[in-house]
Amino acid sequence: MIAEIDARVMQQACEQMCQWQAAGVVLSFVAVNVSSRLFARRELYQQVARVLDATGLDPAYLELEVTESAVMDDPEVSLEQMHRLRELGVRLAIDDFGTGYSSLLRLKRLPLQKLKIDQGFVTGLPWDEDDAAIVRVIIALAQSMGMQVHAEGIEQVGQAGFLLEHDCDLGQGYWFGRPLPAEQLDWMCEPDIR
Amino acid sequence: MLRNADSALFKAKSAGRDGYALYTEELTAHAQQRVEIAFELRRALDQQELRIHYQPVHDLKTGRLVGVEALVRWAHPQRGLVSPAAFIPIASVPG
Repeated sequence: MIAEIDARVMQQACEQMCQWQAAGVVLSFVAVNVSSRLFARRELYQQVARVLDATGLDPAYLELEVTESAVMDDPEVSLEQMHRLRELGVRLAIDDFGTGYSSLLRLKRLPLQKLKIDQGFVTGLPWDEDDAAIVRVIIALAQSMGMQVHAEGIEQVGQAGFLLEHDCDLGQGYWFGRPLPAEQLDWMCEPDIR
Repeated sequence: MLRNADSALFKAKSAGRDGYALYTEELTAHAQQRVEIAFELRRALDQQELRIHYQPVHDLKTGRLVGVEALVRWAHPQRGLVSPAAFIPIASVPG
């Protein structure tokens, strides 16, 4: 059943992205979560290809988020799956980075474009020294491996400020905006972090 | 009794390998709730009650909205908008 939900979300998100593009909204990506169950299936590749074909979305605008634990469950199968997905042209991101048991040796072999820092490390910023140290290390790791770095769960300007100061690329969280129906998003919103 | 033992087995399995779990009455209630939610979720899929919301992602340097994350919400007729965490684990059970 979860695969059915995942499939619908992916299909609708891609359709929505096409509508935004047609309306002149400039976005770099629409991100969709892929459950560990779906990620473990060989058919995922065909499913993504079908959605891209049906909607006509340029694959470079679709980002698939996979949790760290789903990837590390069976690293060899994951590696193969990720390479197949990359051949389609979609972007790949690791969700909840820092919460699983990532092997850096395995991480370096994965064809990833982005690491998402789990909100559990963002909560304590900028005061908690451990959170601050971990976040700095994840940013440095992502950047030195040529990946984008994206922080989740930003609820206060101080957290956004710390992340900006340490060269984190992207931010998401209630401080920027809650999840909303497509028609309620405010494209002009540019919150001032400094 | 077999059904109760099965509930306990399910709980032990959900907690990971090499574990054990004792049967309690709450467990039966928990199992029943899972069955109910799975049933309702099937209906939700058929009745188009799942909605997608989009959370903005901003470029920290420019402040601009540059991307969105699609998140599924269940518009439950009685309980209102339910977050994915409340029903995704149930949806993961095959069937």
